[in-house]
Amino acid sequence: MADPKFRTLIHKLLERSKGGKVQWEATAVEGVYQAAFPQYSVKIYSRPNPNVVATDYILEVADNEGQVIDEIRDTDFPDEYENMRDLFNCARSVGLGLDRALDSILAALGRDDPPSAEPPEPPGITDEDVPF
Amino acid sequence: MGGGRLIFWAAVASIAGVAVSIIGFVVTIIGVWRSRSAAEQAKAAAREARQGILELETIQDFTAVTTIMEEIKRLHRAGAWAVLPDRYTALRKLLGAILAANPDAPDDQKALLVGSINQFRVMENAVERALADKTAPDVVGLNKIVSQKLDKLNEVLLTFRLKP
Repeated sequence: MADPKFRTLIHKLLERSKGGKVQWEATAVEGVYQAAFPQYSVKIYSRPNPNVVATDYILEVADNEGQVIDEIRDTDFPDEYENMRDLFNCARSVGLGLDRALDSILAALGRDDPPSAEPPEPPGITDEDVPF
Repeated sequence: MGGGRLIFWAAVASIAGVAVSIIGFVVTIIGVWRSRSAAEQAKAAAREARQGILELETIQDFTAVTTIMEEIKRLHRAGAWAVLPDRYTALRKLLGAILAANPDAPDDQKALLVGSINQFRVMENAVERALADKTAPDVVGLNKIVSQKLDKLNEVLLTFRLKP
């Protein structure tokens, strides 16, 4: 039986990750993303489920020596499947830098061209300008 | 008349005795205060010296960390996978020592240390698995992670060096 606090952890991580407040990073293992905190770290990854045509999502909590203390799978909280999937996608997006890349490209695409400033017409020569 | 003089001198002696007692008491108080103040100053000096030694050790550990990380990058490029797990372990121990010696460090610095320890544990497991499976790990991907961590740890090292 998974600790019910994990449910709160999933919600908080998802909320903060969507707000860009969790620094997810890619690890040496493809598809595994981690976020570190002052004493602990969390890792999230996905794995194809061999029994059903679906993907399992796993969230691990590690201590400050990198030792895994506990882990939960989406099957521990079936009603949290979508949140865990969203959290994984969010972690992947931030960890791979996709989030920043898309923001940058969208900002560049959305930038309006500055209106072409027509050069001011030179002041016309009047009789007053003629010195003689 | 002689009796009156005697009483007078007895009173003077009594007053003088009280005065000497009061002065002695004040001198004792000042002495105690001074010795306590000196003890506290000595304690503060010892605390500062200890803190200074810890900071110096942290700088030395950081320098050793950056040296090992550079070495790890070279070993990755050379494909010296068999010797790498020991280097990852040495690196994690040093990072752990820095973390333990600096409990008052800012949260972002502690998170960086914890994240680095975790990264190198994952890396160690990945290399061990590759060794067992007789496959070659992704050198570019591994060195990219090492370089990213190295840059961030160098920034923290700089803050330690700039400490007054």
